[in-house]
Amino acid sequence: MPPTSDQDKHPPRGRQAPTSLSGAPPLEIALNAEWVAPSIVRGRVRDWLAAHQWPAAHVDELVLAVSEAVSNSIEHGYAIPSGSVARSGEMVDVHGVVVVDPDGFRHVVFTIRDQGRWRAPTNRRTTRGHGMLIMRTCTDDVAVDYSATGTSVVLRSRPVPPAIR
Amino acid sequence: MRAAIGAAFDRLTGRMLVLDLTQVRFLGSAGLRTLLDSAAEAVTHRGHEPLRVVVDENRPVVRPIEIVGLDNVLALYHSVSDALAA
Repeated sequence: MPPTSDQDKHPPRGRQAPTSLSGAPPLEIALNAEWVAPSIVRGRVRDWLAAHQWPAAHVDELVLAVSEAVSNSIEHGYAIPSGSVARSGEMVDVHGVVVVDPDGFRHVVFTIRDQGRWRAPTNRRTTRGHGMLIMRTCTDDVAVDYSATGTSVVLRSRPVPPAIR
Repeated sequence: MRAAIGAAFDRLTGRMLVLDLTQVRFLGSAGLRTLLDSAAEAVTHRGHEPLRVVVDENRPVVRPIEIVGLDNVLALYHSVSDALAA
């Protein structure tokens, strides 16, 4: 156990000056697991990010990433056949929050949750493989957490400069 | 999109198929899959000329195609006239 002064000089990554929530209202969407859901989510995410003065090029990337996560829940998590209506109780939840970093830059964390089954891509050339590649390319970090009761995908955006009031 | 491409293949009678995506506002993994399948189907199953895809600078379509590397697989063009002339 090193002395306290050493710990202070070299705090473990992730325990540096804490980030804080921006105080802006989070994004909360709950939708039936239907094929129209990704389109609805794209519109809501775009509007929400625009309200936070997110740079346009970043908005496009994040809309694409969140849309892929929602599509993945519907097509694979719940395996809803194309064109069919939602089955009772099968929902996709999308949560978004803006986080302010210690240097004033901001990032957004989206969490997409379903109660379906996670199916890992078997091949990069499949739809699921493409979806994961898109999510990873368009964000800073992708974390998938799955269990027998459902799947959550957490997408953390690249940092953007503080909003200009 | 898959149904439209399938119907177009049925009516081609030897002509090439040009897909104009310049007005498309969103392309995700499902659409990419359809493009890839259709491009393969044109050549391997139907014996047609390779599918020609018009994207111009339409970022919502070009960006996903580039992310998954389909710009190396699909024949992409700036305009329908370019695609027809190629």
